[in-house]
Amino acid sequence: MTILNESTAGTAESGDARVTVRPNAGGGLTLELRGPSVIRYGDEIRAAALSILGALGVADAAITIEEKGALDATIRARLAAACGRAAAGSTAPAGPAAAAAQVPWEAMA
Amino acid sequence: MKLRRSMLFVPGNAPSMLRDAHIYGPDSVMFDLEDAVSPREKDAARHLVFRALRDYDYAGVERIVRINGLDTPHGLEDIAAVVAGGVDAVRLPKTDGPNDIIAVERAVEAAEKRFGRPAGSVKLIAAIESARGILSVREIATASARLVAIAIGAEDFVTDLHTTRSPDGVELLAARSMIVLAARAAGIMAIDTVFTGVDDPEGFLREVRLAKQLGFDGKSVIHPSQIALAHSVYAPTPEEIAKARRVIAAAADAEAKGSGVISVDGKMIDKPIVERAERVLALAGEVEA
Repeated sequence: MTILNESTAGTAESGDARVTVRPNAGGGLTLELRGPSVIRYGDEIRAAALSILGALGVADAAITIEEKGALDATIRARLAAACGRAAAGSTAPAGPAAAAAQVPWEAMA
Repeated sequence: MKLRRSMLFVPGNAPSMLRDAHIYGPDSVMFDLEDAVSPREKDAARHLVFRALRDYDYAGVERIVRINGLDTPHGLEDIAAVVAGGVDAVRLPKTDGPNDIIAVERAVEAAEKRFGRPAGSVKLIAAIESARGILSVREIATASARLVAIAIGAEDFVTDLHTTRSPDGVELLAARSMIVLAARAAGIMAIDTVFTGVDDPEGFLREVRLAKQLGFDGKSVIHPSQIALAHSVYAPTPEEIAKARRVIAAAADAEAKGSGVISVDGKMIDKPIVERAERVLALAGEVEA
């Protein structure tokens, strides 16, 4: 999956996370974490994020995760949604339907 | 006998609510990808619901997802995500005829194959929300072996009927009755519509009592406070439980003796009375629900 544009998913509400994904062509993965759980659970959040990026085949992206006490499952879901939106091609029809195309659900299990 | 006295609606785009949905003790949780989620958040809600199904332990509570219809750009991907996630049952909105069920069944079947789930393991629940759907309810109820229940969605239905909802529900009487008749004839469950007055427990109880008396097996609920209320209406009285125990004991006794005649309290007991007693004990939690 190639990240083509900047996209976000999620909210700033308690128990949620807002994830922003930006193109980073040839630059590999950069991951910035912000939020109350980062000091204690930063390694877990990082591992969860990397497992989703691996499942989606995202090799180059600059990612910011702002969490508000979100559980791993929520961070994984928000990151997957943000990547799907960011990878929706500029030639393909825009919107959630296009973002949904070809989601590798089995890989994210 | 699986109980479905309460099906708790949970918006699919609310992470905290998805996590805690089962702690209020509903018989089923129903994650909503349809009306509770705005069109631009459909993809994100689908990811949240997929992860909830995959990652959270709902302690045996049945997990249902209301998908978007296959006539929308979202329905097919909803099915893929929830089948991959391990959903127990898919609820179809706005079912107008048997073809709606057959189309969803095909998509579910393909998803089971794709994700390596046993064929036929994902159940279906159809919600009927139009006059056309009610008039096809008999065909809908028998359209798929996966179908375990039919539900009525009253808000869309009364709009379709050019009326509004009233406290006594007279406008829904024919539709509710047809749903129960079709469900019973097909050997599946009937689930009543939501009651939107969260601050009106009396009105809610009145509606559950009416639905139960008509034959409904349970109700869709939109607030945790409605769960215990719904269960209280379906809870048998101590007298009903005691009588049911005597009926079941007498039936077991007669079977052990090879006798076809069962008698309790000096009255002859036949098969429908034994079935009713089994249902009473299931509702009382005395036999496996």
